[in-house]
Amino acid sequence: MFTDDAKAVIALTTRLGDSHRPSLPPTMWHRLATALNDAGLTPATVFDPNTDLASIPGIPGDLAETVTELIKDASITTVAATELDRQGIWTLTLVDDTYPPTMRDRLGKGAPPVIFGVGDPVLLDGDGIGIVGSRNVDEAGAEIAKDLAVRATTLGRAVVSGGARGVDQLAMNAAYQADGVVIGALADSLQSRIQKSDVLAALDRGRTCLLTQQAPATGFSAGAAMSRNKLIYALSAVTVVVASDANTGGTWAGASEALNKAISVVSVWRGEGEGPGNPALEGAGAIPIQALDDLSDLVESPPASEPEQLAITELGA
Amino acid sequence: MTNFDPTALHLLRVLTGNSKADFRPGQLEAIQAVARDRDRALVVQRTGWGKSAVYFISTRMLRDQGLGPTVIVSPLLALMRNQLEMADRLGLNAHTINSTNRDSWEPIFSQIHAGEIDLLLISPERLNNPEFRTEILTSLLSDIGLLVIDEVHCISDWGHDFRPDYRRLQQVVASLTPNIPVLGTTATANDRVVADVVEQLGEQIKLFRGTLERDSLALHVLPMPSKAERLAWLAENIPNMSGVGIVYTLTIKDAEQVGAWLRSRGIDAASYTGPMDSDERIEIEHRLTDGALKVVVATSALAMGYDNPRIEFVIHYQTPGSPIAYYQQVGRAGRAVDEAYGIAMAGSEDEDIQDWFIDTAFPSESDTNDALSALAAAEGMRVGELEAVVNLKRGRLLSMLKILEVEGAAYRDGSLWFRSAEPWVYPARRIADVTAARREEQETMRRYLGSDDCLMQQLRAALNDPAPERCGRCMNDTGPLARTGVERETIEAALAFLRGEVISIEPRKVRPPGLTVDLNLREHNIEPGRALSRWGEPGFAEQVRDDKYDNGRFSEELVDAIVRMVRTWGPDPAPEWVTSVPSNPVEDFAQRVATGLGLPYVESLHRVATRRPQKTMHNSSQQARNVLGAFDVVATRSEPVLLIDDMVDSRWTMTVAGAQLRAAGSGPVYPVALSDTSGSGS
Repeated sequence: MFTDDAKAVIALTTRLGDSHRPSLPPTMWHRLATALNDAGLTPATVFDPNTDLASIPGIPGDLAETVTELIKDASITTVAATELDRQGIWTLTLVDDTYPPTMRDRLGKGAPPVIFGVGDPVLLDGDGIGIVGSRNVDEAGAEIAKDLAVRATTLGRAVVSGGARGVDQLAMNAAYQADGVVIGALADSLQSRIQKSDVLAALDRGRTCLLTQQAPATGFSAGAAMSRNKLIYALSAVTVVVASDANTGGTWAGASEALNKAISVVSVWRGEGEGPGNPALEGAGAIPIQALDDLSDLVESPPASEPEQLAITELGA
Repeated sequence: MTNFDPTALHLLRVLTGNSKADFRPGQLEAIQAVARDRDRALVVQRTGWGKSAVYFISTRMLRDQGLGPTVIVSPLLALMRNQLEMADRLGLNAHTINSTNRDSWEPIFSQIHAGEIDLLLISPERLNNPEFRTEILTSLLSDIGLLVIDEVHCISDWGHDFRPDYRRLQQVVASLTPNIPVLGTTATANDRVVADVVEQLGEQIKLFRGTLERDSLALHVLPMPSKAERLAWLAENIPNMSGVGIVYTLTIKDAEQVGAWLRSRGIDAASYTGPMDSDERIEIEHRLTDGALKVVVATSALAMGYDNPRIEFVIHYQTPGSPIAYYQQVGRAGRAVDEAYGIAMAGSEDEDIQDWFIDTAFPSESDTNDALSALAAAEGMRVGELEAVVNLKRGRLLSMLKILEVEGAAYRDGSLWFRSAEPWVYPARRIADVTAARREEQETMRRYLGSDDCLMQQLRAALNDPAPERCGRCMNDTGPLARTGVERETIEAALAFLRGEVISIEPRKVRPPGLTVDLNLREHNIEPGRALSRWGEPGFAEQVRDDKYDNGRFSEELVDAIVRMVRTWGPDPAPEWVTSVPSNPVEDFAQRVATGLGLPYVESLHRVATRRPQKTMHNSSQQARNVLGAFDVVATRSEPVLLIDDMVDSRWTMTVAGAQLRAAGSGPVYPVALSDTSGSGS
């Protein structure tokens, strides 16, 4: 069950139970959390009727007011989170020990305050291999996606992807078939996914974890697809872009952001099946891979320091 | 809040209408915990200690601080009249939400949002409804000032009456944010249950626990193994007892039977059971409170929440296998009267019934696994579809689903059930531990019934009362009740009643789901019929059992009894021939019945397939499939017919055989059986 600190995060940053309810954007949450922390206080302080939040340095009056208003009916969100729990969907907040550490470290203030998922969150150790690419991949690209997934499994790494059609699903299915660990960062409704028998079978096997940063009832949106991309990079030691469009599409944008913010190692497939954007990503600092063994090498001896990154503007994004 | 204590005291005096009233030990402290410190509190105090005063006063004080209304989750169907009066004295506007007043929910919610309602009573069953939780509860939570959980011991599966609805509630409470005060109350919890409740509601909860002494209640044990003797004793003694009271039974059928018997003896008695409409139950509660009824014959459905301080006797026609359950029920007596009696009449059938409750408290591992695998594969199933997979009665299937839902293994979305994404393992160890604890309680109760020591002291000790003392009032302290010899005539009348009660066989009306064979119940259904006895009861059922399993032939006594039963019953139009479900002893028996009635016997059905005994099939779907295709019609007549079988359980054998006869051109089919085994748990 949730700690009072976790309840504070859920109450302030989600709209569980009532999609019309206001919530704090992540930046405001971080501001509040930092101020509380600096004052030696925990997030649960927000529930204490005897604490005047506005008197704490770093918490502006309007933020204090918003928070006070939000916690009045905060139980709506926490009861809804328990309801999700009954369906097997966990809710993890930044204050929980089990929140994936690399998401916290690599995303910093961009880390979603709350994530939802199914499966064992201990699998989210940040050592995975991300395999991403566009929906419309050709046959050679499809083969590479699968081969990379099997190789990742052989290397004892989780395959991390986005659960979309195309490269994502090919890679995840290949890892599943090879009995590897599969991690999917979803941009569609988690609640609908877990009503599918194949998903339940995969979860029953263990070694599968699906997560999302949007409310589990919410369906697909392009915005959600953008924000989940950074979860893939944050949960992977190395992410391979199999095929990307140039200057457009989710794969391109996600890889550009990961390079730009140096979230983790970005590599790019250079060979048959690659996409029109792949050369440009190499030019922007993604490490080229031309054979499966290149992935093994990269994983076993990662670059000593973060690769030189180009500013996103230079990529023309 | 410097004036807190004087204000609370003032409110108590207004509430009681007594300007000199003082708090009982623990009351003020509990009020301080929730209304001043807005903490969580657990109050374990005997019935009549004044728990409602705690939440009425707390509500008034919280409302005066500008906080939202109090929500009371309680098995009470409605606030009792005296409680409404109390609420009224504090100017508290109270309302109830339950399944019977759905139409008023909307206006009630508007009133809540407008700040016009101070107290809202909801039943725990509401929480088991996902729509209620997501829509209604959410809107309640946005306003709530205090959450009260009455009979909070029900959240513990160590408790004698663990209810999945309450476990649901525990999950809600645990997920509430800490700025909502919570007050749990119970009169009946031992150490183990208290510890469990504390763990579930949060370790920081403040515990207020007092003595369980009831100083006007005299406990007696009056062992009477036979039902007839107990019925006779009740009929002779209840009219002479002072005031009104309750007779408790362990089963619904017994509550109905004893109620019917007492009425037949001119006593103002009503039966009260869980499946009855809540309107009807509220009405019975009121009639008992008003003294319009002398006695209510009830199952444990009346154990909680009925709050009548004027009960002068509680008699257990059958005794529960748990001292906590017993204390809770017997504790209904003697709250505001000087002298009250609690009498346990241990019956010979009690332990069998208790065993059944203990053994079936949890669904089996194989049934749960069957259900969960089916759910995981199906991407959503209706209950009717699950019946085709899991061999359980509908009621037991639903209770299994409820438990699986509370356990987080399955959930409901609209009318479809899904396997949750949570790995779940059957908690065999926990179930074994709880079952062992219940066996221990049964043993404690057995000792109680045979004990020479102070009875109240034993009960209090069993409930871990910190200081159980001799009561000086029970039969072991003062001597047994004068054991008025029960008149032989009354016993005979009771025996005749036990034998003669009409047991009807109602036709099945709904085709079970998943049937592929043609079964037209609208055109080819059987008529209502009769059974001679209820399986497992004294009287003819014993003869049926001995004849069926030991003697191999049904005796003439049973032939005569069936002939008498059919004559008294007189179905219209009258049957003109007799047939039977094929089996040698039944055919032999039916032929003799036909002779007794002066009607021809026709062998009309042949068995074409051997099936498993119908009693091993537990739900409609399984039963109907088991019997479909089992018979062929080899002869029929166009007149009305008696269709005889030895046992009737699901009624599917009779229904299918009858439908086949009708389809083959027979007249109306009247089913007749020697014994009704449904609900016997055997």
